[in-house]
Amino acid sequence: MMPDKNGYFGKYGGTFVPETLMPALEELKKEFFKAIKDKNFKAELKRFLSEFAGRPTELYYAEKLTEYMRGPKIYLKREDMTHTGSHKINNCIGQALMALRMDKKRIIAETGAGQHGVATATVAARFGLKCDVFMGSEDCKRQALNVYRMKLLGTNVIPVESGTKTLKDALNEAMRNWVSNVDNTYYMLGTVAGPHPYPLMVRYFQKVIGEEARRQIIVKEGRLPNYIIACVGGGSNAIGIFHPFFNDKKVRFIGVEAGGRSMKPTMNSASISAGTPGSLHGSYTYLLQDKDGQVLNTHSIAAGLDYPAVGPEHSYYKDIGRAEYSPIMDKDALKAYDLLSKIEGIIPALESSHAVAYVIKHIKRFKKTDLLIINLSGRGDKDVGRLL
Amino acid sequence: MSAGYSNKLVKNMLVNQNDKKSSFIVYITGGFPDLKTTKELIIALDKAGVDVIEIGVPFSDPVADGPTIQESGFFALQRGVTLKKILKLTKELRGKINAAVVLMGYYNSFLKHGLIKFVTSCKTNGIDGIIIPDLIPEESCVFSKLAKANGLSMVFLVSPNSTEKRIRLAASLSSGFLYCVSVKGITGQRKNIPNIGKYISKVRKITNLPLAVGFGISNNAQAKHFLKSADGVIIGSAVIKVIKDNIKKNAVKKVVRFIKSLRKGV
Repeated sequence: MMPDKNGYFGKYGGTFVPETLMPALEELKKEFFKAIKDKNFKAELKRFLSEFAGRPTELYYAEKLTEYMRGPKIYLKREDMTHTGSHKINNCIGQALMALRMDKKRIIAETGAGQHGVATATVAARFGLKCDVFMGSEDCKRQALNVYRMKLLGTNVIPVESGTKTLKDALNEAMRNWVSNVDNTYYMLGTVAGPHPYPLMVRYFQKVIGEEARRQIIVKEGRLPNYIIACVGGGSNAIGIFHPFFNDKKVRFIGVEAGGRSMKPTMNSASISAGTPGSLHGSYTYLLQDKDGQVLNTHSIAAGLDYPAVGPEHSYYKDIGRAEYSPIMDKDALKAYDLLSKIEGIIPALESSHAVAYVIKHIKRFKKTDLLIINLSGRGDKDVGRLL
Repeated sequence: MSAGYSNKLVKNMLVNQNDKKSSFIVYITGGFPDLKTTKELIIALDKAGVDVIEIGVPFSDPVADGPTIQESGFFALQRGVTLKKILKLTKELRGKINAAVVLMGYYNSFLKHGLIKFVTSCKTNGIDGIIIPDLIPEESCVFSKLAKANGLSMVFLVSPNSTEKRIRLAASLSSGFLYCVSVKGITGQRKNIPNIGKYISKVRKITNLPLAVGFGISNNAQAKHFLKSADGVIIGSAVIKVIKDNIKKNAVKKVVRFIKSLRKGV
């Protein structure tokens, strides 16, 4: 489905930003709609996704997990096999091509776990763009390896000391920097959140996941899956795989949120399961907030899910019942991380482990004849250091 | 009190404009360093002849603000300052001051309060206008209608890069004044004085509203420079810095002295 001309998915989305950003957002919107009709742009995008990012990624039959669970047939969409190790690269290649089109010489981005930061630093290096990445100082400590990778790629990593010193503050700081340097700077937002047209544009660059998966499952199984399961922080990997199946009404979507330590305030990052609608970072969407509308601190073992809001399209899917959203706790995600490593030889990112954990935990809801696709959005090497 | 005008903000700004007198608008963070000081500051600023007092409603994620205002809001939030407490304070001052009182806050704070409830409680709590830096005119349809129906001013912001079409839209929904952001950037002090002559005359061609310039004004020379072309100046971060530097004592006295120094020779 398409949002309306103001970027609304139902009542969610829109544009809630300082006025100074409006000319930049209007320019971006205009260029984006031009680009997606431009054959050369699409050919370039396809070429870089294939030759640089390593697409298409496999749709892998997880035979050992299927046997172990004695339940439905489980496939894994292997986004962990892309260059830089997660689906984030898809969006970054697309947006780097947008930055080049718009003749912006400098890009900025926010990052939590550092996966989007690394993907941004990677395309900045490849396309010769100056790059500054904002990262909460707490996250810099937690993800020192990714800070090193970004620096190696020639990116300047700016630790953010304001607020809670995590992803939401990095996003605040990136927006402030963009407001102050809007003429020469392109803001490479990492997820399907933010003001219009970002949720739509990031979906466009991530939908390749679902388009491939749809073709692949038909070749391998001769039919569509019954369920698609993906983890949801901001929600870009989930929208990427859900969107191309939107009109396949029999394919059910499950978004798995970070249940953290508990469902009590500040103990999780489950924006849809535990939040209420509000406005943050440019859009109206489900949000973890207190009774005064102050955004709450969040927690998840997976830094990439540790975010108090969610992309507006997910809020819409939730309200119309197109997708269901369910939390998985840290400890269950860790068990899934361990299990998939041991029995499939695949170390999943802690974020993606939430999606795997959902299937393990709720195995009884599935029939043996069901066909499942889990989006394995990233690989877990980055998490090894933290868990040692 | 504001006979013939929809509220005190409209009155104060228009009277000044007609008298060719510059308007001084001072921003203070509500509850920084505490609500008692905020109240004393409002009374003292009013006494010192400030035309409009903007009270910042602290928010967890203030994307339009630089470090000074961010930190003051964070400080207030940690000490339990809420929109309700700020409204209670303004209610106590209602009818006792000549300065107009404007709330400046982020959209989510007001949304969560409930827009209808918020707008009606503004009316009964001595608020004349509202400034929301992350609410663009296009998204303000409901809010603007509610405000108008309750005699409350909405003040929208325009920026040096705003198109003519956007300035027209912002002006058509604003009353009291139009907030002209001096630079493409966030709040906070700056050494350089941007040349705003062309920008202000561009806005002036589009609207008859009084024009107030804000962001980055911290001394007398800057205020004088901006007032050559604008009808008023808005001083925020520089005031917060004075409060912060005198947080233990004399904050109110020092702020008044600072504002007087800014007005010298204007």
